Amino acid sequence: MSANLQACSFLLGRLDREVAKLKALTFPGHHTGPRKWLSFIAGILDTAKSYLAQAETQGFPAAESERLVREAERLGDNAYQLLTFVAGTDATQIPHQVVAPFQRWVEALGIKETIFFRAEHLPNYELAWIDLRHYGLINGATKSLQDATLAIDWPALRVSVPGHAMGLLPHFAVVGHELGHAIQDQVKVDLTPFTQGIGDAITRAMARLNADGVTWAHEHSIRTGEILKAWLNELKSDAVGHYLVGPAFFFALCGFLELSGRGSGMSGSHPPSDLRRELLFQKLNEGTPSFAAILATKTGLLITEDFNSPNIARRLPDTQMYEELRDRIGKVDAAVTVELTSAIAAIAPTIFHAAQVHLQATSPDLVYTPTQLSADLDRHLDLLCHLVPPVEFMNAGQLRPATLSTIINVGWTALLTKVDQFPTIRGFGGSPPIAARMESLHELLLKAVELAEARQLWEELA
Amino acid sequence: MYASPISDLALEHILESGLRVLNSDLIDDGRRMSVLHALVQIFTEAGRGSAAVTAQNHMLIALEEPPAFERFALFFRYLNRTFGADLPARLNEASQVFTAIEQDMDIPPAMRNRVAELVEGMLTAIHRESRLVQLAPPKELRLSF
Repeated sequence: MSANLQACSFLLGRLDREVAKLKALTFPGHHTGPRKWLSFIAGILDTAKSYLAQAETQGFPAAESERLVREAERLGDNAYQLLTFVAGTDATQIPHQVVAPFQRWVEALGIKETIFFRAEHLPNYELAWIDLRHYGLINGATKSLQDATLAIDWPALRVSVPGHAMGLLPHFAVVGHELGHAIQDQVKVDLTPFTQGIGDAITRAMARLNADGVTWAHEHSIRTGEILKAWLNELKSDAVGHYLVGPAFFFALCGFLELSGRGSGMSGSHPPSDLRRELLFQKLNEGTPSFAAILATKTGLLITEDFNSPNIARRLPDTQMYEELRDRIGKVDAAVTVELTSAIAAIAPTIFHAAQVHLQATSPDLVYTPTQLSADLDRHLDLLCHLVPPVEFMNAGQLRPATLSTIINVGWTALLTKVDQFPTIRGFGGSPPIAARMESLHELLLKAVELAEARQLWEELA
Repeated sequence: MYASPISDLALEHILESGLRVLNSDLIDDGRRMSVLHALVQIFTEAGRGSAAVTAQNHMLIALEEPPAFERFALFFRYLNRTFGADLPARLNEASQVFTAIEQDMDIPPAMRNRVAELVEGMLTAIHRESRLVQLAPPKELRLSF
């Protein structure tokens, strides 16, 4: 047995044991995504082991044998890397209470893909999707790999949320945005009226680059397409976040950006943060009554655009912005992003409208409205100040469970307007009084999510 | 997001099997059909996405057909240097050829050869890149003043 075959065999055995150990863990909400993923990895390992067994066959051509070992090494390396995809999905990392309600959002949004949620020790909300559906076509794929590949609805989706310190429940409203990414291709935006504006932006980017010694080429067109697609998808997802959780999404996104960087946020993957904030702020003030008006009337909270995110950097004039950006993200990305900003701002109202039309058509019950906010605050806000979690409410003589959107919005409103009125809290020794009260609010909201989910389940089973 | 081709053994095996089909080598019937199905999908998407550099309203392709655009961007990255402006036509030709083979139609040898050249070009580019993979640099975290 050659040394590299021996080493590979050892690696595959260790990975096998690691996968078996992970399969024995409890995954919050009993969601099946991580287990399907682990079976997929186990299938890859089985295939790699079958390569090694074949390579050891007596009389097998040496060159073929070496190739099989090399490919088994690659599969082992693949399996090792794919394990990182499920890191943080177990119950020790992610608040177990939130997974089942998130899964309800997933189902109500019609997301069919295999999905799982995980927390990581990073200031990051993210939807990662990975498409390995062709792995069943690897030469000599074992039945276990073929079956596991078929068991996953591709692409597999993984929602990441920050763990522990940054995982305050109201902030989880940002998950609405991440699930927006999962349905972004279903939100259809007619861009025909904006062709001219996009074309003009590209012409300006070309001129800016030309003046800076860069001649436009096909790869720049492709890069522009990538940026435009990424920006459009960010705004679609912001729109979905807004329609799912209303003001809580504005508070959560801006609060998160304030805590986690405060930069302009402008890059090939994201439009400027202050533009996103501006668009969401406009939405909060739309309609009669608007979300903003209800918050003002019922709590006295007067929202301004930057009231919980005063330190997010604002855009600079175009030329200055280009000069600041080009050393960080390169001339092409800098020129394209600077020039596309006005074009994407012009498309934004159409994007928000398209998201609203899509949600109204596919999952109208999920759309959070000012009327709902008004009712939620009437029912739950004062009680929450007396440490009663927003679990359920009376409707036409029947108790109904509170939705996740209700809990998060009541939570945000309490956090912003009432937390100092909470009774003195025991059990958070050493924390400043306000921090202790916020911690208590977090615990109450988690309890609300858990009990509301239990009531929902009970009703379904009854 | 597709897996990086250099770590995607499945893509490599599909392309290799595609070459065997083009060369009329012996290949298991079930695998032949599965591989052809995958190749038709891959090259048809890439061909459609290639309008991102050829069509008048090219930017809309990226926005209206994201998977096709991403597939083309992948081939563009690996094959633009070899095939240049011909790449869109070559991808569309590969889609036609694999579709025709799937339907048991005759293909002129010159077309088969051109598609084989494209597939070999992709495999060569993937192998070249995998030889150049760098190790991650050591991470340091310290104030820089």
